[in-house]
Amino acid sequence: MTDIHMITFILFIFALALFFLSGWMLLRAMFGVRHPLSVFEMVVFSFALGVGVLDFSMIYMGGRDIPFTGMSVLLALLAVPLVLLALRIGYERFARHTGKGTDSVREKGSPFSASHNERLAFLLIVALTIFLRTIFLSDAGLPTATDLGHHMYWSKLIADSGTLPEYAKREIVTHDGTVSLSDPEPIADFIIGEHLPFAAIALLSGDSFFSAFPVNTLFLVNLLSVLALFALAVRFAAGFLAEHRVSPFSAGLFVLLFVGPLFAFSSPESKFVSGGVVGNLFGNLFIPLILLSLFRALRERDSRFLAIGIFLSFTLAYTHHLSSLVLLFVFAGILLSLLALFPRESGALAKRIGRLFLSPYPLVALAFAGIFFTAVAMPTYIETSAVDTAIGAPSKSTRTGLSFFQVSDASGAARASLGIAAILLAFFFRPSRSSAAFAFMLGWGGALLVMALRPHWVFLDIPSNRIGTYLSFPLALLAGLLAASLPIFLRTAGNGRPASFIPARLFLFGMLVLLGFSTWNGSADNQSSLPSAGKSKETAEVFHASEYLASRMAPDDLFLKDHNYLVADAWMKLFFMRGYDYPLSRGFFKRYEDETKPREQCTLLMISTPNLPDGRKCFDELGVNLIAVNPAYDAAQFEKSSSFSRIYAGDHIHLYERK
Amino acid sequence: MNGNKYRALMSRFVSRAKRIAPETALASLFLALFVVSAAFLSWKIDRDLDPDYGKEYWVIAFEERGELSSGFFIENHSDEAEFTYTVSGGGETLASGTVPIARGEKRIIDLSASDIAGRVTITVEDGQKKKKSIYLER
Repeated sequence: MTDIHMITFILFIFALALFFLSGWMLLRAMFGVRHPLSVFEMVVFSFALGVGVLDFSMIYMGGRDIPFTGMSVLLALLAVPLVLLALRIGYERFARHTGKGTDSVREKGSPFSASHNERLAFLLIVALTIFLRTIFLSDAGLPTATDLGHHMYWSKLIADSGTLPEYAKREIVTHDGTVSLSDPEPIADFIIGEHLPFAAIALLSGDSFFSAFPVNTLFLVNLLSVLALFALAVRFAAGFLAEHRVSPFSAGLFVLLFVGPLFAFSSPESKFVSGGVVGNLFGNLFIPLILLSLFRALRERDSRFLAIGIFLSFTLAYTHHLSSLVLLFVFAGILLSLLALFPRESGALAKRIGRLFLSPYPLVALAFAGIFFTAVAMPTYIETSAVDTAIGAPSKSTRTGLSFFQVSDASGAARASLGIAAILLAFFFRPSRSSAAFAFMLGWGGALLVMALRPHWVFLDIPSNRIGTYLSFPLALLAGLLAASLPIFLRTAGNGRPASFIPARLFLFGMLVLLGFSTWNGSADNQSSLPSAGKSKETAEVFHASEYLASRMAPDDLFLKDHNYLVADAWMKLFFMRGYDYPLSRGFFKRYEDETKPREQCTLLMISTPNLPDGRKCFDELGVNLIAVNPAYDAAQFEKSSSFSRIYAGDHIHLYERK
Repeated sequence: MNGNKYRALMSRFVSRAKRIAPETALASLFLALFVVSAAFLSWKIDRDLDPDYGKEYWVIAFEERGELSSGFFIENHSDEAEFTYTVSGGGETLASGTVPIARGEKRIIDLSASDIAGRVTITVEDGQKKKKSIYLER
């Protein structure tokens, strides 16, 4: 690593540390010095809260035309938490001086206490988790992925312009037989919270978007989501397994195994990191944390956790619309589970929840959310009524639900089978039936299974495979806790007789087979998902060609590139910064044949048949004068024509100019 | 540093490390492993984006779009050291030559403006007989 790269890397780590610091100050302000959080919970909550603080501060600043610079982003991260922390410290000093107590209470007997062997196992599993993902990302992490390119365009726009973006793009439209570019129309698919953290890191560190920092940031988010699930598993296990002498930490280790090293390369793990599926990754971090905070609020009657849950839910609403929708269904699932499992206590439960909501911290969180939503800014998908397109009867075959086989394929056979078995078995296991933790797991897993398998039952009109990717976490949680709790069936009863009819040796054999199957299944999934050799040469050529053209552009140039055969084509727009739709793009061929969503044909015709009348008409009416294609597939039709000059030639990219 | 001072320093380090709560140590190691991995990925991806490291390609392009008079360039990111170019148009060879270009170098080759109408083609060949061409339709 050269010196300059070393410096930018250190600044990148410093920028990430600021997120943790921001969230930690907020937690410290809420809970005081003696807090009921484990170190693991402190780490994951700090980062997530830091993201929330940054997002809302930057949205507020953007609305007041305060430009985004390194200094202003630093203030965005630290100002409000610092003020709150200062108020807290002042209050604690005042309380000490007057002899009054504060609400600061340290947790007694943490379920995160671990034996020496458990700590060793944790380290081994975590090291393997990180190692496997690093192996995958070392080739797949090159900035080439389409989704990541799209997201980084918006982040770069925010960093370069110092302002909030307008999510809009031009479309090719036909009016009275004439083709033209429309005025910019709003896009609902991008939400500001997906882009502000990257823009902030770029401004704080000075790092280029053409580097590892976007992938490294998503890598951290993915690892923290694994840690969040571990923390949630330990808390759940402390709820109903600890009394059966199953160590909650050990139970957490089983879950960590199912979500960490096994299936490490699948979606939504490493593949989503390299692919840049930003919203989904943040969703997988926030959803377990929100459930953890709500679980602790309900179980420990601590309204501060409810306030954290409200704040994180609100942050998620400004980060990813699909994850927010999933969260709503999960809430509904959990509520139904609680009512189903505790029918006689529903009144008491309602009172408890009501008392929690009507406490100072949650009221402040709700007031903040309400004021921000109504007076500052609302998420773009609300403004563009995108919700209407997600709710309703499934409109395409890809939205009619997955089969069990597809769920098993997406989540891993071991996780899917054990997870579903856990739901069924738990109904026969009395302690779980009386456990709020089981209600949470049933609600989470059950809601997602219904959304993935039978979306029409809940009027959902979203690609089912997108919902399927949210299943892996609750299934891993259920599978891991099932594996951890199986020894309970072998405990002897008080009179010395085995509590189960299964002989001990047979049981041991069964456990080994189960673990072996899970390990094989998870490792085989990793094996099949190893990326092929990186495309660094092709990427370097495409970037060089883009740089060449960007430095020689005239204001009225209109550029069209191919998405089918050019590597890293979605990243080309970062060289031009002339709009999300610049350059225009010939998309995947099947999209032009989709009868449920008719598309313009010009972007296809101008590259595929530039010399035929339809293609020439598109060129003349749109004014496209620059083309980028892969010569292995699309050179011949341009070489034949006297209307095109080839102005740039590489091995994997040619640039043509129409005269 | 002599042996006694070293031992004293190690002893202080170990006793301080023992006072760190196990949970804190585990969480710290988790974050430390991430930093090490991120550093590796940063180094690897930066190296992959280096136009010269492990790459074998060269490109040609007009120095100015639509302008023959500004010449063209060859940018070399391969082990080839010599490139031969030919400028042709109207069925005639208008210019030719051989230029040495080291890896990582970009060489601009000037061309005199030509009055020939139609396509003017510049073909470049490397030592392995690989060819690329660019052309201008006038």
